[in-house]
Amino acid sequence: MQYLEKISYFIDLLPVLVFLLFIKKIKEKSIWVIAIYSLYSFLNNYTILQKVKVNANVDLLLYFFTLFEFLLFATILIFILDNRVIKKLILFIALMACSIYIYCIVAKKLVGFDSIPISVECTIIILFCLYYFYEQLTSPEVEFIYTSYKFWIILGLLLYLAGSFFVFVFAADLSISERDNYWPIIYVCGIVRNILFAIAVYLSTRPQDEEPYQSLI
Amino acid sequence: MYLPYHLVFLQQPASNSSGTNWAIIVGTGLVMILVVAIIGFLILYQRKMHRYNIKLRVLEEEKKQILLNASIKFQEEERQRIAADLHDDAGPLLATVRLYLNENLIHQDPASQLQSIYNAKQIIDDTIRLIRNISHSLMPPTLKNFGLESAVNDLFQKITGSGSIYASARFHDYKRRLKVEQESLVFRIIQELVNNILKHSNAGFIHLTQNATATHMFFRLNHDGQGLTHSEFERLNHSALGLGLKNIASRTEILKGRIYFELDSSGTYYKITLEVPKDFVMPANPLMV
Repeated sequence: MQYLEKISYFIDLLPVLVFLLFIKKIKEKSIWVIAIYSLYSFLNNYTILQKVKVNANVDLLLYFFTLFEFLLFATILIFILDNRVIKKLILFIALMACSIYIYCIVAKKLVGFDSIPISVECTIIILFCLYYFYEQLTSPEVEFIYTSYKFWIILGLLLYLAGSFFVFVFAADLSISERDNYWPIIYVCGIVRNILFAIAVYLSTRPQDEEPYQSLI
Repeated sequence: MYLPYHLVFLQQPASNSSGTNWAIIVGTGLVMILVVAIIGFLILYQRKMHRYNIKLRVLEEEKKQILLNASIKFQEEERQRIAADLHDDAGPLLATVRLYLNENLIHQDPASQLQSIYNAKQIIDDTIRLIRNISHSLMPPTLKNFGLESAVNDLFQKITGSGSIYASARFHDYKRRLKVEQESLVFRIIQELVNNILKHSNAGFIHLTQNATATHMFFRLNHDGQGLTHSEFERLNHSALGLGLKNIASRTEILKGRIYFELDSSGTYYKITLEVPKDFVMPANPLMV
C-alpha cells in the first residue's frame, strides 16, 4: 500500500521527465498542457503532504486542484478535438462550471470532500472523451488510432476519470478506514494515467510514418 | 488530487453502508469494462476499415489498369486500321498509278498516253478521296472547324442518310462552347455510343439532346433498341470484354465527368446521360484523346 502510494506520488514526474527529454521536438500544445498538469499535480501533492504534517488546513488546495484539473483537461480536449462547435461548447461548459465552483468556494458552501464537483468534472470530461472516439470513427482518415498521441491522452483521461469516478462520488460517505480500502483504485488509476500521458508525450515527438490517405468511399 | 484525500477531511463523519461499498466496486468494475470494450471495439473497427480501404484501393488500381490496357489496345487497333487502310487501299492505288506512268509511256502512241494519264489521274483522285476519308475518320474537319454541335449534326445526318436508322440531335444551350479538348473527347464518346447502338441495339431511332447548367453540360442519347443499364455497363467495364465501353469510361474519367446508362421508366427506350463539367483542366498526359 505504501509503495503504491509512493509510486503514485512520484509517477506524476514521469510525463514531465519525458517532456523535458524531448522538449525540442515537442510542438503540440496539448502536450505542453499535459506537462504543466503533471508538474502542477506533483507540486500540489507535495505541498499538501507538507501541510498535513503540520496539521494545516489543505481544503482550499484540494478544491483549487479540482478546479485547475478540470480547466486543464478541458484545455487538452479543446486542443485535441476537431469540431469547432464542440470546442466552443467545452469552453462554455468549463467556464460555467468553474464560475459556479469558484462561487461555492468563496461563499464557503463546500464542506468536506468535494464529491459533487469532482463527479461533474468526471462526467463532462468522460463525455467529451467518448465524443473524441466518435469523431475518430466518423473521420475519413484511416490512420490507426493508437498511432496518434491524442489517443493515449484520451485513454489516460478516460481510464483515470472512469476508474476513480465511483470512489470520488461516494468518498464523502466513506469512513477513513473505508477510504483506505478503496484508495488503491485511485492510485492505480493515477499511475495508469501518468504512464499513458508519458507514452503520449513520447509519441507526439515521433514523425508520422506515412500520410493518412482519404477514404475512397 | 488523488494522493492526500484519504489523509485529509478527517472531520468527515463515517456513514458506512454495504450498499455504498457495492456501488463503488460494481460501478467501478462496470465502467472499466465499458471503457475497455469501447476501446477494443474502436480498434477492431478501425482495423476492419483499414483492410476495407486497402481492398478498395487495390480494386481502384485494378480498374485503372484495365482502363489503361483498354486505351493502349484501342490505340493499337486504331493504328492497325490506319496501317491496313493505307497498305490495302492507298498502296495498290498508287502502285497502279505507277504502272500507268512507267517508262514505256513515252514509247506509246499519243492516244494511249492520254488514256494512261487520264486513268492515272482518276486513280490519284480516288487516292486523295481515300486519304481524306482516313484523315476525317481520325479528326472530323467539322469538329475542328465548326465545333461539336456541327460535328454531331454532320454525323447524325450521315447515319440518317444511310437509311437504316433515324438519328437526330438538338443542342438547347450551346452558345458557350466547351474547350477544344473537351469537344473532341465528348465527340469520341458520342461516336462510340452511336457505333455501339448501330452495331448491337437494333434501334429504329437515336436522339441526342444537349442541356447545360451553370457548372455542367449534359448530353443525353435516347434510342429504342436493346441497350444497357448502368449495372450492365459496370459489369462489362470490369470484364475483359467491352473495349469500346472501357474507352468511354476512360474518356469520361479524363473529362472528370460522369456517364449513366438506364432504361426509361416507361420501359420503351434506353437513355445514356453524359455529364461534363464546364471548367476543365486537361490532364498532363491524357491516354487517348
